[in-house]
Amino acid sequence: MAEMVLATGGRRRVAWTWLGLCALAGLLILAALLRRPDLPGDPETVRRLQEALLWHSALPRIATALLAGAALGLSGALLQRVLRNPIADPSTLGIASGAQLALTVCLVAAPGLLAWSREGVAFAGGAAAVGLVIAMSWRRKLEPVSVVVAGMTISLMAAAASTALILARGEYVLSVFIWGAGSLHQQSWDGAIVIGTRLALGALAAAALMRPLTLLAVDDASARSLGVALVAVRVLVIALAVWLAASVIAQVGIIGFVGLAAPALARISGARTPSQILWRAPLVGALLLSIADSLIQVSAGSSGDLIPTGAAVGLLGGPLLLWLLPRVKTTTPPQAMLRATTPRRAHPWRMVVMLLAGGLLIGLVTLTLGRNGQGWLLAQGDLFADLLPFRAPRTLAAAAAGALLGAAGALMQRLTGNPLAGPEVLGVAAGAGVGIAVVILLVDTPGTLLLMAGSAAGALGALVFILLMGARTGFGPERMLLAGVALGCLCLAILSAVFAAGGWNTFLLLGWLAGSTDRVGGLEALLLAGATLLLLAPLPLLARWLAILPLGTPVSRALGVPVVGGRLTLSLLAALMTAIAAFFVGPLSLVGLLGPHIARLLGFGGGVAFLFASAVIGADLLMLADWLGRTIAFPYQIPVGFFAALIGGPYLIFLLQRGDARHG
Amino acid sequence: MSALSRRTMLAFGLAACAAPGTVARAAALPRVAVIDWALLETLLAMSIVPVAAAELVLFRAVAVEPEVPASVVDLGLRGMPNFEALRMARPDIIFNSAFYTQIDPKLRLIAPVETLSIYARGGRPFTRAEEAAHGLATAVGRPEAAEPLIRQTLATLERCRADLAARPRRPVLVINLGDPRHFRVFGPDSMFGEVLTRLGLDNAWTQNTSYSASAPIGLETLARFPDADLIILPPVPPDARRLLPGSALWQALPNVRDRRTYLLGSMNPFGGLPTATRFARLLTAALLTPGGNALG
Amino acid sequence: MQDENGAAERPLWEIDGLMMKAGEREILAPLSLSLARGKVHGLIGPNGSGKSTLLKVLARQLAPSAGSVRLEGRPLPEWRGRAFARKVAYMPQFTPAADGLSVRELVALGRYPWHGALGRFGDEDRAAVDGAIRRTGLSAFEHRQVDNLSGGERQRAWLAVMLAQDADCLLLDEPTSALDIAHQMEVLDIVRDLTLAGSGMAVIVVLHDINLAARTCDDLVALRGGRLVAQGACTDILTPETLHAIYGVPMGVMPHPVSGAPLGYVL
Repeated sequence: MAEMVLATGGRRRVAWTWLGLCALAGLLILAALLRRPDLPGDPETVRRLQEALLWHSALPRIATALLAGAALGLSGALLQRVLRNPIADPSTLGIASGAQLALTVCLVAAPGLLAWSREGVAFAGGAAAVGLVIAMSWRRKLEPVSVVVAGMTISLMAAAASTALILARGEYVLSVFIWGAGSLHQQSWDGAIVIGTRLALGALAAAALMRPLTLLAVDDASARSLGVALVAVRVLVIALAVWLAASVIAQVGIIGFVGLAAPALARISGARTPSQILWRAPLVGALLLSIADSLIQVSAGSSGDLIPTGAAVGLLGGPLLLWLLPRVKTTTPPQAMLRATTPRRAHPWRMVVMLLAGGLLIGLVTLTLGRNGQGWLLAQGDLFADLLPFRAPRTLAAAAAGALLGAAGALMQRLTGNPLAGPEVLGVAAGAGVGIAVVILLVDTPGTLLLMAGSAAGALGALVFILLMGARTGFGPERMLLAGVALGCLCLAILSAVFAAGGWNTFLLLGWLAGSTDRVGGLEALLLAGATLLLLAPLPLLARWLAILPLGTPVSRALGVPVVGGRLTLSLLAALMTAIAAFFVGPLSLVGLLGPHIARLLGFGGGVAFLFASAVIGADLLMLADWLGRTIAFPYQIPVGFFAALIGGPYLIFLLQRGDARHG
Repeated sequence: MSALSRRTMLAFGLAACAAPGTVARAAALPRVAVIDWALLETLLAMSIVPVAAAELVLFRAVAVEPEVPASVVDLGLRGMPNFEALRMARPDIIFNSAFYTQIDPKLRLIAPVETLSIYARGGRPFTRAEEAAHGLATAVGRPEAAEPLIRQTLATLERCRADLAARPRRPVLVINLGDPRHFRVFGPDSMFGEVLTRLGLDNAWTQNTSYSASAPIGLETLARFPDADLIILPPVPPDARRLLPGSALWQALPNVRDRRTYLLGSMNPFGGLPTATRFARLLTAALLTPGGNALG
Repeated sequence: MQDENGAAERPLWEIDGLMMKAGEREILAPLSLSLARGKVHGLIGPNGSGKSTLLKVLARQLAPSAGSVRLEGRPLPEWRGRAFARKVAYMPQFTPAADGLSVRELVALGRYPWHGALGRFGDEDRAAVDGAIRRTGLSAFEHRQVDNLSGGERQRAWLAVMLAQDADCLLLDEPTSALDIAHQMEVLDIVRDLTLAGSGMAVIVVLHDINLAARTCDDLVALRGGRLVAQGACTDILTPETLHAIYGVPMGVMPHPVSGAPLGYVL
């Protein structure tokens, strides 16, 4: 639409707008430069210090902001072009999180490697993340929504792993948090020089690849018939984009969504051909980051910036994604839907009963088998009675939360027809996290009840928001998925800004992110179990909607199914389940994705049996994760949420790229 | 190790004040478990050895002293202690701070919980640490055990203050490096800030930092304090250690150029009276050593 | 409402002044026509003539910009979802992936308008599903997964869904567009046979190929640029003049060598 408006007479206005923005950026840079601190001391020392500040801090910071913005803009433009996806960028593809995780792992495990090459480590992490995302969404033909949902999943897994590392080895926490929130403070020209050279090389490479990139605009078959070595070009371009992003992350940390915004703004400003977008996006990115950083500097108080620049820009990411939503083509061509290969089970309910029995067995083990300082211990008699008040509630809570997540995941996947759609990416759980963060920031030592209220308020807010976004499109599942991802990004940006402040209460927040079943009391566990039964009970009544709605709006409407009401009901149910479960096991567990996939692998094709199988599998998984987390490093506990993510995530990736569980 | 740290204390003339008859009464002590580190070190400094405490691996690395006897059972993470290990340690009383208050309901299933918080809004950590020592001593039935510890602590501070009096009057800035580009600073309302005041030193950072350290601040802000001696608390991230010596900005700072930066030994930023003592001692020793020692 | 006799006398569909706009563009000009029971109606016309849009409006998939459509004398907006689905069944041009369902499970979904979300799946429903599967010749495939069937079989499975729906009127949007000639015949012959037994059922089918339409339908409705160009029996429509008016290219007509039915061809 923007292009249409611009086509007539708008060009001049655009030119003026850009000129104005450049002037604004320049003015802000000047303002930031003029805002020198008053330094005490003898004039000679002050002069020397001011000089050092100007040359080694202020100017490098300006240069770094411009160069990092440009590099991210170019990276985003390349990714969007090569994936034909208007919402691809280093953040949405998980590159940033992957790079950060790799840096964190090295910081904790092999600091020597970091001294050798931060950039190499960041590149390896980013490349691994984008590789996983592509592997996961390959079967969906790299369709934009699937790619971004896969990116979100990878980001969540990386976040889980980082959290685990931070909790386990607390020494360098602060530097990890600073990375996560992306700050542009400089103390030398090193960062600017590194990013600058990468940008120059990247721009040269992009220019060299311009012709094949232009041809990528048409579909694969046509491009191939035009003689483009598709795979080679794609791999090259993606590697280039990852490298650009990784070099920025290695120097200044995560700067979210500049790569998303820059190409979008370039398009709005009238850039239409690939080469126009590729040239303008870096300029826009530079302008954007420079303006943001100068504003942060100008508004800084005497005790430093209000929030780090990266986190501030990241906050814009969510709204930006939402704004881009209508531009994303979500229709999957019919032939991209794939045929089922897993044979359907003839008697699915028998398998559900077996899974339940398995759950009981696991429950029995978790209640009796544990460790003490000396070794393994089978609790009997008095010891059993003694430990039961501690083991029973957490086992029950893990089972209930797992069942809720499994069922919510199955609902989401049926509803969206997207096998990558888990409740974790819906943003409801992350909303709960923001609610908890607010409580922690406002109250010094909040009790469980208050935290729970905060979590519920956050989840509810997120839910209302997603439903409002969904209402505009008749609760179209793809849109709601994207709105959820956008909201999730926003919430994660808020959380990383909170972490960057590095207060001691951040550990409380980390503990929540990690999820812990062990503080659940008996009464709470019973309430949770009751809520679980209450929410699972209506599922059989919804079976017919669940069978018909995935067939799409035309068919559902033709059969007289209330499309909007049905979707609203099912989304509400899934979101409620997620919000409740997330309070106990955190938003990162991935069980909601894993449960339905394993159910499908076991031959559950759909229907109520599939929902219940997913729920039971979820329960089994979380009970197992809870028990392992409790015993494996006794007396140290590994939080159930990321323990599940850490064992489940790799398996999930394996499943998805193998393609057995590929039909939604 | 234990003997070594006792000797260190002796060297500072503290052991003389130790309460007589400690050993004789130890038999009557209740079995104590402790979650919060500040309470743990305070208990240990009063020669009250708990049966179980949380996150001892990291405590030994970060807080360093007092020495934790091998008999103390490790309970795992402070925010997520292992209740089964705690149950099997069969404590009579559990000490916790408000910071980990969400686990109180579970702890109460095992033993009565006594909550003592040194770090809380509206309080001065040092004063609260003294109160906590009294509270702990009273709770274990040895109310007289707190007074010697407090006296020792004040005596050490007094001694350090006297030692530092000869030093030219310069403010100090207590920081912790986040990475090569950022630091956190401890304000006057932190434990370290209070100790500075009691040592007669001026804290160059005059704003409060909500009883601990500030949010990360850009390294260039250090230029505002050319006079201050820089006190750096560990941990120093590897890349800060590697990059700062070659950084033009860092080298341009007068305190760095004049070798007035001091890297202290590791300590718990949320500690109790023993941490106050350790900070005062290490700081005094560092400031009285001619020529700074850190990250030149 | 109408009484039984009144309803029987009226045409099934009455379309009056129907308009459809997308922004400034007119997709359907004010369009008025009526469609009777017991016949196969073919909607024909060049690309962009609005025939698919018209079908979607009838199926209540699209709301018209202006004008009214009545089914059995009752305006479309007044019908409730399931009541409407008991009268009218619709098959979109691109049928979705059936998501792991077997043929029988898919066909059973067609009974939703009758039993709703919570009602019991009774003997009547079972009989309707059996009948639909039999009539589409899918008995051998009923436990196979729909997504593993060939294109023609899959299209027949979706046709069976509509039959199980037991509606008075079927709306089909280019049901043969992706099929080879043999499978096209297979599907269209089933459609053809639906109205033969004097069931009173009406079928409205959008077809691209004029000769296929002439072979299948009793009555043709020709659109061009959103306007009604002609409506009538196949023999009336298949004349060089009318075909030229519909498709905008000079066309000829000759009798089929065997059946003698008129065949259109481009000159």
